[in-house]
Amino acid sequence: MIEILSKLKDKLDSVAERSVRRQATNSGRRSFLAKAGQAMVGMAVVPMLPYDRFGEAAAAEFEQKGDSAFSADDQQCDYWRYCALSGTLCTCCGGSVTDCPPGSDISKVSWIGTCENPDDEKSYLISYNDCCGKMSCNGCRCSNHERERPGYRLGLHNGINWCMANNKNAYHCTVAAIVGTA
Amino acid sequence: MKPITLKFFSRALLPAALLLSAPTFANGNLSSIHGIADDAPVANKYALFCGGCHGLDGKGEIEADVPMMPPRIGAFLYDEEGAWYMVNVGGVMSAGISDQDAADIMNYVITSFGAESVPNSTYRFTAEQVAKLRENPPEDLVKLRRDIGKRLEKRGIALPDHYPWN
Repeated sequence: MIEILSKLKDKLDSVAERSVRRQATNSGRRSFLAKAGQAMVGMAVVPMLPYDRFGEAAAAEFEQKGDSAFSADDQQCDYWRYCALSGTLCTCCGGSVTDCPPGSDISKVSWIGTCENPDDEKSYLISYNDCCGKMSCNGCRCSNHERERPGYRLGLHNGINWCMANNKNAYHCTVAAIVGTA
Repeated sequence: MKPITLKFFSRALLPAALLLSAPTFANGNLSSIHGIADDAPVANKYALFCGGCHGLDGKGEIEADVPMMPPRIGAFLYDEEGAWYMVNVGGVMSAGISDQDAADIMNYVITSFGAESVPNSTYRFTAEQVAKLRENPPEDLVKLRRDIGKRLEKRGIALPDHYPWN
């Protein structure tokens, strides 16, 4: 019995040794450093890139199907002011429909679009400002694209991180302020 | 890292996106896409087409390389190439607005943000003029802006502050 266990141990040792030697032969320290460097640079660069709002359609659909824990109109994706809002609603993150949550700052540039208010059937100018300088909020994601166009139409695109002009350009959430009638 | 980030996005993304999209859509009218009526007040059109970056007060955002317009935006019109420059800047061209909308918005801008700076208070852009000025866009807007600035400086006339590429 002891002999069998000893053989098994030797076998495991030799397998482990072969594996480690193969690893050492195929990937040197430089390779490790290169990959670690890529990972570190990647981590530093990713937060600078425009906020990726793609893939949020499913989240929005989920919210819109009514399984939301939030009941107020302005915490729902189908609230009329959000007709072109892609991102996270500030109303679910401690802010309001016009004010950023504490600890975040309103973006210095924004996208201004139009949405129709079903109550009076009038179109209003809506300024979609991002709130910046705080980690992304996880509540109430929306992906609405009324009148949105691809990114080469920057002024008609909502997949941009509008925090780009702020000193702290991490995206937190988006507000939708009325700035006039259309 | 932050200054690099800021400069990258503000200097590269924002103006480049505005400028690169310009030639293809110079005269397209996007009113229907934007959901605003053709006869909407010009202040609303300014807000919709320009206000997101330039601000409703026209003060822009120097940190994002969006120049300030008040109070001297009208001073461009002292120079013979000033109107040509104004209707061909990236923001106007990339907004995809008609010649008429561009003319109306230019007039709104000079009267609202630069009324004291214009050489002639009755000067108004027209759609025909805008169409003509857009026929041959300047090759280098920044150089044109600098040239205009130098010529006006010799005459003791100052252009708006905070031009990022001076």
